[in-house]
Amino acid sequence: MNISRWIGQTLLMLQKDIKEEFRSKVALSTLLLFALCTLFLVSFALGGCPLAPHVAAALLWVILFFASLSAIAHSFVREEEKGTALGLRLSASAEVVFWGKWLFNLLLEFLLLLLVVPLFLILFDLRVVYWSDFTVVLLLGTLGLTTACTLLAAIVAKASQQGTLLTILAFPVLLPLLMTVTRATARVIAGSAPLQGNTLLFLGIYPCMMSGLALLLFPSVWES
Amino acid sequence: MWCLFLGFWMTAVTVAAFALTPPVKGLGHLGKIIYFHVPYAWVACLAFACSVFYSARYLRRQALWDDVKAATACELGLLFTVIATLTGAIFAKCTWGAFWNWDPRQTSIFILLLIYMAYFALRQAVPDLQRRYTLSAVYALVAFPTVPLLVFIIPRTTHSLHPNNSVLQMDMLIRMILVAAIVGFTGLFVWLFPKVSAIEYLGRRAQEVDHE
Repeated sequence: MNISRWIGQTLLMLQKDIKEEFRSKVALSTLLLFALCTLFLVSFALGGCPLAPHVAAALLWVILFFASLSAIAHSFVREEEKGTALGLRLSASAEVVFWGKWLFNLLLEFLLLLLVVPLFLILFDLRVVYWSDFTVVLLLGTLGLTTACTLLAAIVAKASQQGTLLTILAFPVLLPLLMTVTRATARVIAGSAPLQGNTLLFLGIYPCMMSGLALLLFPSVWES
Repeated sequence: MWCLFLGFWMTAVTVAAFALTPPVKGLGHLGKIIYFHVPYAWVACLAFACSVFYSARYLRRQALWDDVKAATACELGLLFTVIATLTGAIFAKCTWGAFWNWDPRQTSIFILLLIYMAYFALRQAVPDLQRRYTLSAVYALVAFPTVPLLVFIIPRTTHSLHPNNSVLQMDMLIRMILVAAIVGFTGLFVWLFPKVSAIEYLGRRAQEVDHE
């Protein structure tokens, strides 16, 4: 299969998922409502008290992590529930399915970031010192999160108790990323240090590693 | 027969660890826990590596034995990880004053524990047998890269209270007993592994016969 056909099919996958999402808006609403509720609850509880940078960074990533888990699981679970998984297996190759879903989840994540991050900065009155580093950390962290979660969501789609199981499976796999990204975000908000070389390297390597694993392992999961 | 030799070896190592070795510099007699804690942690990682190896083989060959071995390696690994975490926590209480303070090494052994538990949670949640074996094999492979990241890379990039494992700087006798302990515990794992796998395999075959 040549590259342009492959890309065309992947974009078609993305288009299908977007159209389906627009009909029911389940994933989007889960994502946004969870994030907004958490943000507003914490802001209300704090009642105007300032939030220390490391606490703020932890809060941001807790919101992103849990909101993403609930929404990303949905992309594969929906296929199984509606019975369209078999049709999908017949009409597209495993790689096309994975990357199509990945693109869709990435789109959802970017929407989440666009909504949550400005609100987060406004509600907690944070002034970010290193802006470009902050953006890079957020984008790379989200990329890694999405790639890992999409692969794990495929594993979980065929099991029972999908919601809790995805959290249990995702936490150990994502913890190195979360640890690194939370620390880096805290430093970048506080201004104590700009983004360091080896942190950037790790944040760049993690999505590549997860993509590599997905390329190798997703076909086994999809066809089982 | 060789397990008798292993028994003698382990007895000798235990006696040597308590009686023969000098107190560790800076830690005193408390430092002797390393003769047990380090081998347990090492075998926990080894067990995971075995599980990953057999998981990869299962994905390639789809043979029942490979899945049995992968699951057994995880079972034993879980046991060793729990003991390593507990001995580490005891050591932490004695030297740093608190059982748990999210030191990078403590976090990494905790994550290994979570990986094992997630592996078994996944196995429980999939009713279809072939799918269960495939999905748990895939998960073991997905979780695998995080272990070297956590165990080797992150503790080196961040500040850690954990005693630095500079084996080369240790006293000769301490180093010898430590290596002997590691060899002994690895022998223990190598002895347990085929036995527990055989029990697991027979159990599954018995279930198959029951269903027929």
